[in-house]
This record gives sequence, structure tokens and C-alpha cells, in this order.
Amino acid sequence: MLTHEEIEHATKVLGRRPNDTELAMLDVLWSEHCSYKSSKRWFHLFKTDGENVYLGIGEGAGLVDIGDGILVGVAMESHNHPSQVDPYNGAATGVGGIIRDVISQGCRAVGLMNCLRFGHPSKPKNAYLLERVVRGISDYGNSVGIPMVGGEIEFDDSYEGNCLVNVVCIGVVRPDKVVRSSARTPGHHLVIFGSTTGRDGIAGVSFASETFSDDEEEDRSAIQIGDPLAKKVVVDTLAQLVEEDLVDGLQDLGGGGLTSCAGELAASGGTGVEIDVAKVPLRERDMTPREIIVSESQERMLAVVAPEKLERVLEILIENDTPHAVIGSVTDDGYFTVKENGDIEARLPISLLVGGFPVPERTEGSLPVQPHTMDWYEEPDDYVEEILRLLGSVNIASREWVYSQYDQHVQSNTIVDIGENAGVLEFPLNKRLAFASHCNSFWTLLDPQQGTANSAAETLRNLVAMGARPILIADCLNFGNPERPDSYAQFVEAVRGLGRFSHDFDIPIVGGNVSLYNESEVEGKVRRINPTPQVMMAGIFEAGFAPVRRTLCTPWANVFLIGETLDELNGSEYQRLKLGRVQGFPPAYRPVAEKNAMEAVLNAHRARLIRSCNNVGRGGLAVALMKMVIGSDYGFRLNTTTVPGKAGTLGRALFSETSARYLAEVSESNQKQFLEIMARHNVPVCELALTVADHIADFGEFRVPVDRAEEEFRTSLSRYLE
Amino acid sequence: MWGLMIMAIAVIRFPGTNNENDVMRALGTIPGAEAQLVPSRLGSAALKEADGVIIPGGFSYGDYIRAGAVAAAGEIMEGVKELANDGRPVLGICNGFQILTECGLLPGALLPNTSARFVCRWVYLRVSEQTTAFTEGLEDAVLKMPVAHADGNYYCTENDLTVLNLHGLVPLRYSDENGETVPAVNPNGSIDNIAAVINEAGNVMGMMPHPERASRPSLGSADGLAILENFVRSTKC
Amino acid sequence: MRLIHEGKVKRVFSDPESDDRLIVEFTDAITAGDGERREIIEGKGAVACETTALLFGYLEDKGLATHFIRQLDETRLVCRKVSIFPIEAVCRNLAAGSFARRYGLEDGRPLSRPLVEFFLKSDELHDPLITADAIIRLGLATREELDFIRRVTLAVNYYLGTLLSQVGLRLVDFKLEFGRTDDGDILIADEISGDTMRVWDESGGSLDKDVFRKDKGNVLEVYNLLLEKLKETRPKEVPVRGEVVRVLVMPKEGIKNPPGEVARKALLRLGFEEVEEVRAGKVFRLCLRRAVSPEMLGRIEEMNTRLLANPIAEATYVGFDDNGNCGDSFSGDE
Repeated sequence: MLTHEEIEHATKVLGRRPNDTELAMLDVLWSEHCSYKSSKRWFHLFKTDGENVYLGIGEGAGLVDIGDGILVGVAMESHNHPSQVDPYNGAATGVGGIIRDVISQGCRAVGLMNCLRFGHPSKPKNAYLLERVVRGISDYGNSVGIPMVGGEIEFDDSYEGNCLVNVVCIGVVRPDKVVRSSARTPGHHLVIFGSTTGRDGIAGVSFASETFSDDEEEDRSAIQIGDPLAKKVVVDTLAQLVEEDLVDGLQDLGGGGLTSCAGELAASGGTGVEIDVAKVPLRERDMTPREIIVSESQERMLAVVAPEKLERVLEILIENDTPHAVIGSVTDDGYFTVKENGDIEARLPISLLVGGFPVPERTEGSLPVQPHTMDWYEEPDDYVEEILRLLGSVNIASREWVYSQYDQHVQSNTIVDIGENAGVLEFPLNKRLAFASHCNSFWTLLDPQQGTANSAAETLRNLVAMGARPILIADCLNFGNPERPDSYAQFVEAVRGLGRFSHDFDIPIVGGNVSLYNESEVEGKVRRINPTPQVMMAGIFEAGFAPVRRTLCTPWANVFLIGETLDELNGSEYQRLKLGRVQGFPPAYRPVAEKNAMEAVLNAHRARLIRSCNNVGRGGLAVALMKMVIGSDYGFRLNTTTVPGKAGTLGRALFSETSARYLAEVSESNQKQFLEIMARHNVPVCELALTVADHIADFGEFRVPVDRAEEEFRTSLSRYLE
Repeated sequence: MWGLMIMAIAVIRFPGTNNENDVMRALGTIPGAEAQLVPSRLGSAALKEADGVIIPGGFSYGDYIRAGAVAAAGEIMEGVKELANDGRPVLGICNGFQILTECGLLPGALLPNTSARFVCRWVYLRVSEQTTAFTEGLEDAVLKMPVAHADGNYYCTENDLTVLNLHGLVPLRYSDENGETVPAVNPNGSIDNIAAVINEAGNVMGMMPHPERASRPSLGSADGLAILENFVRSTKC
Repeated sequence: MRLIHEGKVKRVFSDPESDDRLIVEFTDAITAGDGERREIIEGKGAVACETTALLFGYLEDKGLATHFIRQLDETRLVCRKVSIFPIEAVCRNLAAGSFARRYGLEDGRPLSRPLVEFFLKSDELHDPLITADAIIRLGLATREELDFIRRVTLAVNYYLGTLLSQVGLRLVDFKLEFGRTDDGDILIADEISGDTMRVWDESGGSLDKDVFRKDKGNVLEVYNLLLEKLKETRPKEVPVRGEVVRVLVMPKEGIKNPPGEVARKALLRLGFEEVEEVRAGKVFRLCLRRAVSPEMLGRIEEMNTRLLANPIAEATYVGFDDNGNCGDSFSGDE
């Protein structure tokens, strides 16, 4: 809802009080969701440029040049609030929205990812939400025919009452086919197509900019219903329009509906727009101009079409049997004019509507300083049980139950399925890209800046482990109410963390969104989500390089541990399982060590020295080793428990979550060259284990029964869902 | 404008079909394969010159009533039936299989998976020892291909099943990597692990696994290409 | 021509030309109070016959199915031979007659929606009210037949009421009888005339048998007036009503139903341990711009087998939706 100040401001600029339609338009465009009014002021901290950045943040998708005239496009977005209220449709339309963002840039959509957060699945309501969200994504994404290549799921009580659904869409386009989201030429037609307009989802963005109350069920009117068939037809139709160079500008209708879509087209083109709502194809009778102009009905696109191309455009739209209409035109007056059968219903300066809001004051509170002490830690009596417990933790266990519901192979470009460190897709000219997304919300809770940078580092390691060099970042920043100083401080600190990371590693951030107000009110008490800056990263492989997987693939090779292991169990999964909560200073972000390890591993990959490789992440060394055995025909026997670094005990070495570490399987003949590369990059390394022909996990002092480990890993999540 | 006179293999695209480009691409790697995409709205007339038809996977018409049901009632299927009765090869993959059973060209029905969820995974397939036009040279082999479907649970009446088994009309069954057709590897609850069915005349086959998604070693398997190659060869007979 | 049946006001003969047909003769008799009062009024048979022919013809034009074939002469109709259900369907828009007396209502009180009642045809028992369950349990009609009869009665109410309103008349209530052909088709039978309906003019004056029942004037005159008025109507202007039909598609008995099984397990997990079986099907709500008739049922059956259901694995059940109205959903063609 517009604040009193905002209405005053609009009245002053207009010289009159805005009418109801205008108020509704301002309400949606000035919502946090559309305007980024609390967050935008910090984006200067991000590295957003780079020599390969073809199109940066600001339009539907960021575009990055991967060489030889091929651009990869990415967009990332949240659909949290709708998914909490109606998990099936909320998640489905989230996927629909992110696809629109990418195709509206002229891209062919080639991959999807989704990152989810829920309360613990042992509670039926949380299991229900997960089941419905996954089904929504699966029904929609599978139907439109875009493969799922990766994602993440994390469970924590803080997401109970406010689940998170973040989605990514990946596209590909050639530079001459890129379509911009701007309306540059007065006199061009505005053509809406894809679906009809109804009352569904009216003011969804304002809804997404409020916190949940106990009666979330009442919020259902703001939900949109997805129609994957219509979306598939839009995808195909659009491909044809783009192929024939028929559109001069394009924007999808998402949050904020026509108001946001046409407003942004005019704002970026420096023009105005005039729309007659009577021409919009409707699916419900008696809709008011206000309802039509802010409706968020799904599967709609708005194209800017030059007069001489209109005939052919309409021909294609008719041929594809998709609802469409010419609803207005681009003007040169800098106004957004809404008419109904010729009568003016609303008229607002574009400069006021798009970004003309009075910047609200936000206060950055101070966050508690976390102690480094680990006095809670006790060396475990039974390492085997601890390792099995970690493998069975819902935050570590296999997600196969989820991702087997996603079509991962449609389009026939999938080189590596979900379940490895990253998913890999083949692009034109045999270029291969890996995609991963990660956020450790326990780290970010304890220290938003360190945690965010380190989550980004872990995402990076997922790519590097497979042999891909990171080239771009997209993000989705999910936080609580920015009007609360402590919540706002979490947000600002996380932005600082991600900003630091992007500069340290020189990886541009080319897309993303911000979702604030992720709080629920349960019995009068506010429950805020853990700060969740979801980081997605893409990396590219050298030509001809076959991605390296994590399962052990030869007997009698050595498994090297790359990087130092420190006493960093605060914020770890081990601590969370022990204490039922996390506390203390989380594993530190160590850019120098991280960069050295990255370069060393990539160099070793380039020389084809590594047979299998794993990132050491959640659960530490023990879990990383076990994951290399699960699904392999082979096993390992630990050579040493004396690892480089300062981990004081075996338990600390096994469960610490220190960053900048990898495990690499290197065959005997390659060891010398491998160790030389490590030394050249100043990376501490130790010969941790030997691979063996038996399917065993021998830690020296103890053995983990592999069949039990596999059982724990494979069934610990699905047991709550079957 | 569709250059129908030179068409050899028609790959039909219904609204919602989404594997047509995969099939075209896989066919493109087979020497001598001439294929053309045919939008279903062009109707049966567009199939007049076709030497064979592939109905690819996807979600024709959103699978909104029942997988394949709306497409099966489409006019273009009259053309497919004519070609089939003429002895031309017809291959339905995934949604295409569902369409072929829905329109009566193949017996049985594809019900929701036992899990009631979509399933995407790699499966092994045991090829029947009886030669068919589509599996020639693969007799008794074990193939690896992915499946991706929500309704792949093959069902038919006892009578139909007897006929299928008696006449060797089940070219592919889900198996383990050694070719054992054990229930544990059945991804969807199909009766007798049936993954593909062929008609008595031997020219119409439906299969749930995706041969086009196993058409290059980099995708994890190229086993599917052999089936498509057989299809191409049979269009030239 | 052989007399088959003699009723209170009609005689039914066999048709020498066809075993499938009958000839119905309207006599000049008029009765009231279960035949306690009976008079002969010359010309009454002819006017009732013509009114019936006119209205049956009109309903046929709209797509409803009646037993009427053609008018043979002034007092006789050629009809299809059907076996008559031993029940009468009465549809009421306003309280009147036995309904008003039964519930102590004043005549003319409007009902919120049209109401259908059934009466058992029995002179001895004075045609008592009978419930739908009793009709089914006594084997007088099946539930499906009764649903259909009910829906046709409501459709006739719409078509007659709309037609009469064109000439300033109100349809208060009316009675229908139904018969079944050898093929199982259910047709509207008997007659529709001043004898079987209540029609009021704008001032509340009766144009029906109430004039005779209550001795309020010349019944022949009002019957003729009703007929004249009917001839002034513009039947073509009455639009065909949309009928809402529900098609329930269920997995056949014995066919596994994974969605239902998964739902059952999920319900058990949520603590509903009483759930023994769940079968999940689909419902289609169709709005058909077509009158309710055996032909419509046949077309729905065709829709089911050709598209809505897979006959191999699914069974269908057709039901009518009383509260449904085609105008509810936005279709753009209205």
C-alpha cells in the first residue's frame, strides 16, 4: 500500500490528487517488489560490468558473451509469497515468470534451476509445501520443455510460514537477435499476446511486499494460475517473431502487469505510452480499467512493433492461435496514458511512475558480533554414527526424490544431470557451461557479510570442481522487513559480502532480484527467515573438456585434500545437529586461499590430471569423502588424519566447514605434475586417502558401512515425502 | 510453402509438443534421413507425401484432458492412420506413444505412473529377441536411454496382453543393466515392464523412453540412435 | 383402429399403419377432484388437442423430445408408442393449488427457484406425492431416468415460461408425463394444455382449469383465449437455453489408480487413519447450448468415448447441475 508520504509526493508532482486508477498504478510500481526502493541504493557495491557483459542488470535477463557470437542469458527471481499461499500455482507461475524474462530478451530458454527453502519436512505442512512446490515446478517446467539443470534445497525452522522459491532461467541468443526491453520509437504499436487478462493476481506485487499474518489463507485472490500450454505457444510464437526480426522491443507482463511492463518500456526508451484498456482481450466480464492495467494474469507479453511489420506480426499470432490485440502505441510525450474507448482514465508522467518515488529512509541497525570460541565442542565418541547422522541430515541427504520429477533431458543438451556438483549443458558450437547455486543460510544468519561471500565461494567451488571457470553471477536476495533496522542491516551486510566477492573474483553480477518482507507473524510473534542471499553462478569449460564428476573412478589412485582445514565448526551442519541451532563466527571467507585453490584446481583440470573431484562443503571433509564413494564402484582407505591447517582433533578435521578446499582423485602417474601445480599456486595439499577396488569407506580408526551410508543418504529426505 | 513434395519423414508438432527439435536434430545425424517438421494444424493433407511419421514427446495440448487425448482426436491423425494402414512406419515417442494408444493405432492405455509423480531418469531396456523393423540388429541387446513422463504406466486387458506376448509385439522392456526385466527397475508400474509396443503389422511402434535423448555419447548414451536409424531405413523400403 | 386405453379425458387407439405409433383422441370431458366432478363441454377436446399439438411442436423445435408426431384431425394426435412411467412430474414457479394448501401458503407466493415434485399416478390413492427415493426403490424409474425427467421438466418450464411471458402470461405450474420407447429413450408424453398447467394473466386471472375447478366462468372461453395468446407468441425468439452437465470420469473398478493411492497414503500420514480407499477421477463441467433430450445424452456419450474418457480404463457418469448456469462463466458469445 502507498504510504501517506508517497501519495503526498505524487499529488505535489501532478499538481492534483491521483485518481483511483493512478493510485493503483503507483501502488504496484512503487511497491518494494517493482521499485527496489529499499535496496537499489546499495547495488553500486556489486561488480556489474566486465568485458564479456553484453547486457547487464536492468532488463529481463543479463547477457554474457561466451565467444564466437554466442550470448548466454540468465535471469533469477523469487516467487516466495505466492508459493507460501498456493504452493502449486505459486511455484509454477514463478517458473513461468522467469522463462518470460529470458525469452523477452530474444533468448531461447535452455535451462531452469530452482532453489527452495522450507521448514523441516518432518512437519506435514512443510512436507506438503515441498511436495506441492516441486509438483508445480515439475508440471510447468516439464510441459514447457526446458530442462532442469540444478538448484538447492535447505530446511530450517525460520522458513516455516514463509517458504522460499527462487527460480533461474538460462537462455541463449545471438547478438543480432537480442531484443531490448525498450520502446524507443513514437508511433510504434503496442501488441499484447499470449493469454487473456483476468482478475487473477491483481496487485500481487503489493502482496509480495508485505509480511504474512496468521490468516494467510485470505490472501488467495493475489494468486495467479499458470498455463504451461499457453506458455509453450508463447515460446514458439516468440521464437518465430524474433527469427524474422519483427519486434523492436519486448517486455513480459509479470509483477505489476501492464503498468510495470509498458511503464518500463517507455522509461528505458525515453518515450511515453498510450494504452486503451478496452482493446485488451479479457477473460472476465466487467473489468474496470484499474483492474486491467494492474492485473498479473500469466503468459502475456507486450511487443513494440513498427507499423510496417504489424501485418506480419498479426499473421503469425493468428497462425499460432494465441490471444492478441494491438492495445496502443508509443508516444513522444513522456506520459503513461490509459484510455478506455478513447476516454482518458489515467495519465501519469513516466518519470513519476517509474522510479519517481520518494526514497524512503531506512535504518541499518547493528548486528551482534559473533564469538570465535568453540567451547561447545566435544570430540565425538562414535565417528561412524556422526557421519551417518550428517549424511542423513535433510540438508545433506540426496534430493533425488525431488529432481527425478524434473525433466532434465529435454532439448538433448544435458551433459551432466542434477546430483553432481553442478549441472552441465551443451550450448551451440559445443560450448559447455556448468551451473550451480548455493546459499548456506546458517552462515549468513551468523554473519551476513562473511556468510554471503562464503556461500558465493562455495558455489564457485562447485563449478571449479567440475573444471569450469566461473563467468557470471545472478542472485536472489531474500530477507525480512527492511523497515526493521536489524533486518535491514542483514540485507546491507549481505550485499557488501556479495559485492566483495564479485570484485575479489572479478565475476560480474548480471541478474537477480530482491525479495524483502519475508516474515510471518505467528501468534503475535514475528518469525523472520534466515538471511538468504541465493547465489547462482555459471562457469565455462575449455573446448573439448569433459566435466569431471565426484564419484571415485579408479582403484589405486590417491585422493588429495587441497587447502587448509581450520577449527571452523561454528555454523556447521555438525554444530546444528549437535546443538539444534548454530552459533559463533561462521567459517571465514578467505579470498586469497580461495583464489589460489581455484587456479590450482583449474590448472590441474586443464592438464587432465584429476579423475574425480569434489568440493568440501556442508558437513565437511567426512561428508565430501562419503559422497565420492556413494554411487561409485570403488572405495577409499585413509592414509593420514594429519591434514594441513589447524584442526585440533580428528573430529574437527572431519567436520570443519573451512572454505577453499577440494578433494581430488589423481592417478599415480599424474601425481608429480599435480603436486607441482599445487605448489606453484601456493596451495597446501595432502595425500589424504588411497582409492581401493572395494566399495568401502575406511577412515583408518573406523569404517563407515557404505550400504548404511547410502541408505541414509538416499532415503532421509524421501522418507518424509513418500 | 512447406515443400511437401520432397518430404520423407514427417515429424508432427502439436501445440505443446516439445521434443520435435530433439528428434529433428537426431535424425539430422543419420545419413540419408530427410525429415520435415509438420505443424498439426496443416492437417492430414500435409502427410500425403510422407514415407513415415514420428510423433515426438512433449505435452500435446498441455495433456489437459489425458495425456495425448486431444492430439489423438486431431484431424492430422486421420492422415497418420492412412499411412499406417498403408504399411508406412509410424513411431510414437513418449507423448507420441500415448497419442497412438489414444487413437487406437496401438492397443492398451498409458496410465499415471505408480508413484503418481513425473519420473525422469536413465533406464536400461531389454530388446526382444524377435526382430522388428525398429529393433533390427538389436535383438536381445540391452540399451540405455532416459525416460521422462508422468503417464507411462502401460496397461492393457488380459486378452491384449496375451496377444502382445504371443505375437512378440513387445520390442522393449525395462530391465537392469544385465537385461533382467525385474520389477525393481520398472520406473512407472507398466504391466510386465513393457516400455514399447508394436502393432501386428509391425509398422507402428510406441515407446516411452526417448531414443533422441540418447543420440550422442556426450549425452550419456547413443543407444537410441540405432532405433532411429532403423526407422529411417524402414521408410525407404 | 383398436381402443387400447380409455382415460378420464382421452382415448388411446392403436395406429393401423404402425405398431410403433398410437392415436390419441381428446374427448370433450373435463374433470376435477380426481374425477369426482365430470362435465362434457363441446369443443374442449379440440382446443386441448390443438394447444397440445402447438406446444409439443414448439418444444420439439427447441430440441426437446416428445411423443408427438403430427395432428391427425381436430381432436386426434399421432404419437410415438411409449410405456408411460406411473408418475407425474409437476413443476412450480409460484405456490398454488395442492402445494399451497399442503404448506398453508397463499396462492401466488413466488418460490426462489422452480421446484419439481413427483406424484404417483393412482386414482384410488388420489395421486399422492412421492419422493425420488420411493420412486427408485419401488422400481418405477431408475435414478438416472428420474434425473433426466427432472431436468427435462425444468427445461420445459423455461421454454414454456419464456414463451408465455411474451404475451404477458405467467406460468404458475404444470404437469408432465413421460414415457419410455423400446430403445430406452425417454419422451415427454400425454398433453400440455389448460388441463395440465396453471397460467395467469397480468391481473392474476386464470387461463386454465382453475376456472372450471373454482367455477369462475366459461372454461372453454379461457382455453380458447390461451390458445389465441399462444398463437400470438414468437417462438423463434426464445433462445435455446444452455444446460450444465457434469461428466464424472473415474478409473474403472479394478484398474489401479496411483493418484488415489498416493492421496490415501498422504491422508494416513496426516492422521486420517480411517481412510481405507481413495479413487481419484476427474470432473468436467460442460455448458451445452442444446435442449436436454435423449439425443443430447447420446452426444455426451460420444464425447466421453471420443475424448473425455479412455474407455479402456475409465468409466463415466453424467449428471445435471441444477445450480449451474451457463451464463456464470464468461464465454463471450452471450
